[in-house]
Amino acid sequence: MWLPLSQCATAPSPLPSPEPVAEKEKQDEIVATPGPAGFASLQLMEQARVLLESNKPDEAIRTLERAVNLHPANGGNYYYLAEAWLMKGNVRQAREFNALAAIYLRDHGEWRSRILSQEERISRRAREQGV
Amino acid sequence: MLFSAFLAAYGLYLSLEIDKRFSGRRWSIPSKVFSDTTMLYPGQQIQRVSLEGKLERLGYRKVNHKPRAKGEMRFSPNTWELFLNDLQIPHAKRQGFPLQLTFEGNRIASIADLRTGKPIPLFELEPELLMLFFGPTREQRRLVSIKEIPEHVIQAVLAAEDSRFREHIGVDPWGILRALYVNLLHGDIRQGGSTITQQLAKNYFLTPERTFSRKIKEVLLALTTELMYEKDEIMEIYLNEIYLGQKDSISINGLGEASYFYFGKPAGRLTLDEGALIAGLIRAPNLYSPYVDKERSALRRNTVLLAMNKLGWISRDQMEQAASKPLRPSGYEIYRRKAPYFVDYLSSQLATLYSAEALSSLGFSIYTTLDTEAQRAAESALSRGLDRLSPTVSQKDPARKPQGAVLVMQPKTGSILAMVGGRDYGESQFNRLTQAKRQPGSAFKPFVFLTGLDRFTPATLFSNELRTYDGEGETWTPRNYSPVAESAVTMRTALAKSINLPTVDLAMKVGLDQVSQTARSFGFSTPLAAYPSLALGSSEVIPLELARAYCAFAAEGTLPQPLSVKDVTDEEGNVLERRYMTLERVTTPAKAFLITSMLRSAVEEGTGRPLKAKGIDFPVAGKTGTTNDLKDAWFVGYTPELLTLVWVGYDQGQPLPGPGSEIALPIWADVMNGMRQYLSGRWFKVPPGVLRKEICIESGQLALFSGCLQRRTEFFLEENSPKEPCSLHGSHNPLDRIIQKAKDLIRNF
Repeated sequence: MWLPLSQCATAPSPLPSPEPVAEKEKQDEIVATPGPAGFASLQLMEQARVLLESNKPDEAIRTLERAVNLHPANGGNYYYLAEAWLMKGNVRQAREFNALAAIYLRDHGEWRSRILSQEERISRRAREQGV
Repeated sequence: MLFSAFLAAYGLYLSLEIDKRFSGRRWSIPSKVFSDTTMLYPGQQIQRVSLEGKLERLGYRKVNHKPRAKGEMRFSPNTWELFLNDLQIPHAKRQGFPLQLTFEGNRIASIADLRTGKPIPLFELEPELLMLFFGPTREQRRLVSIKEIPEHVIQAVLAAEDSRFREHIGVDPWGILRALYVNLLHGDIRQGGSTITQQLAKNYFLTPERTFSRKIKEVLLALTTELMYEKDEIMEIYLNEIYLGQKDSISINGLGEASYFYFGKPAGRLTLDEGALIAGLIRAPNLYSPYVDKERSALRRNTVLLAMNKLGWISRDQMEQAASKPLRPSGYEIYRRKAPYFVDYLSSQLATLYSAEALSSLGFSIYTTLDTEAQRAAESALSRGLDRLSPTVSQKDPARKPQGAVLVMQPKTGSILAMVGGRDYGESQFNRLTQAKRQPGSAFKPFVFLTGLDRFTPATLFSNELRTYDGEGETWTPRNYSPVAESAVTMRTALAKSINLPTVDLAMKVGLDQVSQTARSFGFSTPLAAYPSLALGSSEVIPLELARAYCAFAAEGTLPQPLSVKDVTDEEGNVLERRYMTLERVTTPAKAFLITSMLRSAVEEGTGRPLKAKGIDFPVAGKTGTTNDLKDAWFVGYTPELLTLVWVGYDQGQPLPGPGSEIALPIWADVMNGMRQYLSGRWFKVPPGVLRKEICIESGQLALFSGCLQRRTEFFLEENSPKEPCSLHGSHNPLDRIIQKAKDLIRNF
């Protein structure tokens, strides 16, 4: 009756795999509350948004690059980078950044719909360009 | 008649020469290479000593009073007051203003605008000058418009050199008579008596010898120049032309450059005493330089002030007040090319856009990605790391010294923050990051495992048994670096502990061509021959390309373009060239995450474990690499914010005293410890397409709580995650299952 237990114990055991990596990763995962760098990144993101509203995609991209450097997990930066590249007519880059935004902002309801709508706009532009 | 005709023709010839010289580009201005700017914000961890050093390198001067002028700073234990300089870079323009930084330990507690008291969420410090593209004359010059120069500075120059400049026609007869008298008296050429226009003519068109025929040419040129140009135009050209001192091997030319060299400010902000000092230098810049002899410099300045007073341009009070001011030259750093390997790499990038002549003459500003703090951290860590090898290696023959290289990148943007291509640029300019081809050893393994993720999972077992493979025209029997008793290990373990046999097993199962193709898609330009030894990193790679390829794991599967140049602007600040972060997808975010996760295991449980003892207490993904006969030692590691690659080895391929974990890893830890302010301590977000499941270690299938004693969680790709329960410990017989459950209950009870 206890055979299965002993079977487990005597089975050829591979080298113990590192454990529990998965749990650690969950704990360390970048959380919604940004640290000081995150707040600074948000400031830059806001500056970039204003630049985009003023139709200045080049300046916005430069500002957003700095924002990404400060806090790579701020998904909003990627959303606006996609927006800037779309404004410049580069759908390939817009698509890459849109995909990154989708990864980082998938738990944020209001962002999700904006990202989806952006994706549609990118696809539409791509069709127009025949890409 | 004939003489008049000759004179007219000669005058015409001179006017054409003058027009050609003055209407075109007048000076060669070396292009400047700048580092990136530095962001400062509340809450930021900062090493105060480093920040102070940076401010000094940017020309900020400590004062005892509240900072009143741009570039001044005052420090008290936890409060720094700075009057920021103007910032003018392609993406931002800001007027200097006073601000206050407060600290709590090594953290910026607050930043406030001293004019309003309002908090500032972040600000940028100016970029540092890294290098000048000098031409053969090695002249440094900063052009200034006559409209920007204060009148008292122009008057000081006139008082010192040519007080009748506004009245004469290019030649001052009184000056010539005076010079003739002095020269006849001594029977030799002792005095020039040249006007400013003559000095200009001499500098531009004539050789320096003192002969009467040359003097006549000078007079004719001066007269023609005065006929062709306004006084202000002549004055502006003169003030931008004059030689005003020497900074090591570089000559300081023009008032604009001299203002920064002597007083750390633009010419427009020169005070009366400062203007008089610079004016006094024109006669003999190195004799009267405040850097050479302050007393002599002050005497000369006061002579100029006295002359200004005699001419009625300043009052006695103004003269006395200016003459009583102590000499406070700003100080300067001897020009030294910073980050030389990076600058060489940058130059090679720019060479495709601009000729060497254009770079040394057109006065471009080149803004780069280099972070001077990261560069210093990388340089000092490599230097210390190679010094640690000293007791075991020969130091006498430079060719036999171990070499090393460090590269720091931002994985998402591809920006190169630091590049050290060798132990000593003076000894060897060969950049081992961009020009060397070295075997990566185990540092190549992630690309093998990535190839396997289509068919296998991190929990899949691979054979750890000795096997012989055919390849390269002969048989090959790989071995593990150290003995591993188990007959099979999981993919995660094989990568984490860098075990060779299961890695080759996996490579052979997925196909070597497939492995080679995967690696090529990650941007390796060197040939990756599809031999079995490819799995263990036997094909040479360029270290920069290896670092870039790892960036893709840290950037959700997108491969960034390595960035060194950000913007190139002309003298007027117009952007000529602009480069952005660009992404190219080479794998899915899910696969990139799985590799990152396994590389984290390598740091926490595998070959990267020594990092913890070296102060790396934040999550890191990393991989060591060691090649046959210990010819190369590698460590490539990253966080969401930074990726750093370290290579150590001999140019001639002699063996190192240890593997990557002993030689390269400590240098990596040292670099990262010096860059704490860039790290959040956080980990990567689990992307869509990744599932977390509990599995039985032995079978790699879904764990049965009631049967599998050795369980753990593991990440899987959604498409190939285990769906079947453990077949080793589970039973399909319903009765057995009930018995199993009962056993579980008893055990838990």
